[in-house]
Amino acid sequence: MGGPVQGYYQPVLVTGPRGVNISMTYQGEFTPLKPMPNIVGLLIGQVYRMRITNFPVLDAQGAELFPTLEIIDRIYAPKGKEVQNPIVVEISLEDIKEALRGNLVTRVIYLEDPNNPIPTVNPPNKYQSTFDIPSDADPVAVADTMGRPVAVLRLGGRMPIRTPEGLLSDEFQFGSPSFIDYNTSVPATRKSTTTIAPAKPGAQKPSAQGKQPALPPTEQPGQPDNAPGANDGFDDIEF
Amino acid sequence: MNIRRPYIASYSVQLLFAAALSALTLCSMTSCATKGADGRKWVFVPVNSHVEKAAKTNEQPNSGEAVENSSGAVTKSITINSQYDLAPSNDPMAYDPNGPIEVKRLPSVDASSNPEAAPVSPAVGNQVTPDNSSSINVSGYVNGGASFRGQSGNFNPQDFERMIGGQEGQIRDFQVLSDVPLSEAQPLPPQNFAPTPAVPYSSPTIQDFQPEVPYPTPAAAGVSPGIRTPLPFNQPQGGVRSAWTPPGIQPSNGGQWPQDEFIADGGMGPKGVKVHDDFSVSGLEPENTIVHFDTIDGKVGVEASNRVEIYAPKFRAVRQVIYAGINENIQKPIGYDGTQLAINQQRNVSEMQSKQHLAYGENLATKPGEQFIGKVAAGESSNRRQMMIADNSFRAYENLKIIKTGVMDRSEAGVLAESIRRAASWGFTSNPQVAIDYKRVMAVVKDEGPGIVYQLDKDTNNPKVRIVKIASVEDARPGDHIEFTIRFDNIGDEPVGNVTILDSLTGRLEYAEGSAQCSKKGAFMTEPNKAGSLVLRWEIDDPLEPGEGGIIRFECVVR
Repeated sequence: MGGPVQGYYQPVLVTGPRGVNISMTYQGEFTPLKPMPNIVGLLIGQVYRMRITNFPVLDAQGAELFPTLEIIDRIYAPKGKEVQNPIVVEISLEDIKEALRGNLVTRVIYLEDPNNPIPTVNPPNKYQSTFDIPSDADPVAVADTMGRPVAVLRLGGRMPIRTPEGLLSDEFQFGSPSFIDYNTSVPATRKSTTTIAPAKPGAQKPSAQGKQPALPPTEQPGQPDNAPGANDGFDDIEF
Repeated sequence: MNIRRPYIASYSVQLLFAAALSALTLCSMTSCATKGADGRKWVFVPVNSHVEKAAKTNEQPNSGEAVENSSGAVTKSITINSQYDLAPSNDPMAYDPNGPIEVKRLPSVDASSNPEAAPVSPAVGNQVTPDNSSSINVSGYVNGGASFRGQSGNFNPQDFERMIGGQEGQIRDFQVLSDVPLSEAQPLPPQNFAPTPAVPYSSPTIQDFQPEVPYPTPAAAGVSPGIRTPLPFNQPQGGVRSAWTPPGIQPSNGGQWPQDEFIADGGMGPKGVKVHDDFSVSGLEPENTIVHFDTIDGKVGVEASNRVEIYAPKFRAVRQVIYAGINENIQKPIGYDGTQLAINQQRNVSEMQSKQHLAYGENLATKPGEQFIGKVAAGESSNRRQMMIADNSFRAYENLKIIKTGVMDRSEAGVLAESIRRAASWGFTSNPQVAIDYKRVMAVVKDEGPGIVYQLDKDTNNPKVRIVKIASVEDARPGDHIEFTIRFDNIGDEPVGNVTILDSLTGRLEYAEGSAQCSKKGAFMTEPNKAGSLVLRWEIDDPLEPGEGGIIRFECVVR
């Protein structure tokens, strides 16, 4: 089998209970909140910090969680249908409740082995079924026996760590790796996708604390074709 | 002893000289093939080339040489040493440089012992000299995919086999980039060959034509065509679609399409299917689709359909909840009331008890598919009812002549290929062979490439049923509906009876109740299979006359 290639952005669908909002990190700040489900293109092997809020849980108004998502393998959708066939990462209501209780939830998403499928139909309005393992088991190892692990979601981790300047620390946002934000609400081509490039060392960061950085609405002018995210192979994608 | 020593030395030199001369002679006589590491030969036969025509008319091909082998059979053995040889101008039979070149192994024929079986046809054609006597550079694409390049000094058989992946097939865009200047030769493209160390090569002999090692066909390699075999890299696209592979799958990595993202249905297992006297069937594996029938002379025939593959990855999740207090200990604050002994701290109970957390129970009972084996007695038909007659209207994805009329149209080969294997390409492993009966002239569209093989079938009593399966979509997600269409035809020359079509669904597919249709009168039954899905069974009431066929259509839900 092949394997991850450098610079490939794997489309990932992050979904959850109705009404929950999600945002990513970009240059030391969180991006504007968007309702789930959200499709983003993520680099394989990188860890992404996210923020989710607006939970449909009593006594959880204003609560926020900061899960991490690590893509550990890619899938090979037919050409032009990468975004239509993303890796699906579902954050369930049970996951959110456990995290709000202060527990750490680890969810390993794997591709089911078609030679050994579980012959059940997913419940309506539910993307993927889940089974739980005890706390002394290795979830990645268990998932590896069931299929091919492709992503690891960790929910209930640390609170944001900010620098003296008020920005999210690199430790918290894992260096803020670049990603592609697919605008799922408007049919778009590649030009309307937004590539979030990692902050260059020494580059001036947004300094105003609490301000949400405005994302560039379109592709950066003058961006070379070989820039991060440009060679994503989604030239003809409509979604 | 002293006297013999110079003689021995001289004899050795003579032997060496004779061996070299013999090698050169053999090389000139048989410099027509590359010899593989296992002794196999590779011969390049350009399709419809002037060489073949020259052989028939006994013309002398350009810059080639005629060879009369030891059996007396006149063959043309041409050493590829120029582009001119392969592309003569103003010749209607000229070799198309963009056309295919068959790569064949030489047959296992010993011409000296069996003159009648002399390699007439296979030896006709352009062949590559493997030795270093002349400079030959070649490049091309094997099966429209992996490119290869080589030079005579470096273009040794081992390199060649490595370059083409050890597979027989067709080479496209084959070019001979000769260093030998020819006035008629076309300008040579730029050459950039990576230097590789030359591997010693021994001149081939006629014995080398014997297949020392059987060619590793999929069946010989223990892999049945159509059953869970990884797709080879860049299979031919039926001349319609361009080769494409996702990023990350490279031929240098032994790149193969991952099969765990596809739903497959169709074909037959390596052990085959056995039909018993009571019409029960054994050996039918999940994903298999077959038809069995009785012939006039009482024999039972079994044919498998092609495989249909649909891109439908399914994701599941393993969840683990770790409680925050698992590794905590209660610490006694410093400066606590001294009236209590510090030893009492040991009575504090750790919150390790929270390890007793019970995992979510609703999914604990979920078991792998195998555990459903035996849950329901095999062969127990769950229902038997009259089939619905298929709608007169055809679906959009069924707009193929072979589905509508049962007649294969070459122009539809690519579309059919896409319908059969929408998510990928013509699968080497799917082995969808379609035979057409044009009044005893059968055209077989092979999956290896766009080539078409015509054969005159003079035999009678040749019962044969063809079964073709296509799907309505190329990719699907859990919960989606997929419509399958099966076209079955009696392409033999005698009626067949008791035609029964069986489709054992994979565990990822769930039959949509009530969706089965058939254009022929018969019965439809279902029974569980070991994958946790169903075996669909159609029993056609009336015999099928030669040329008669029908359509089956049903729906499935992706699990």
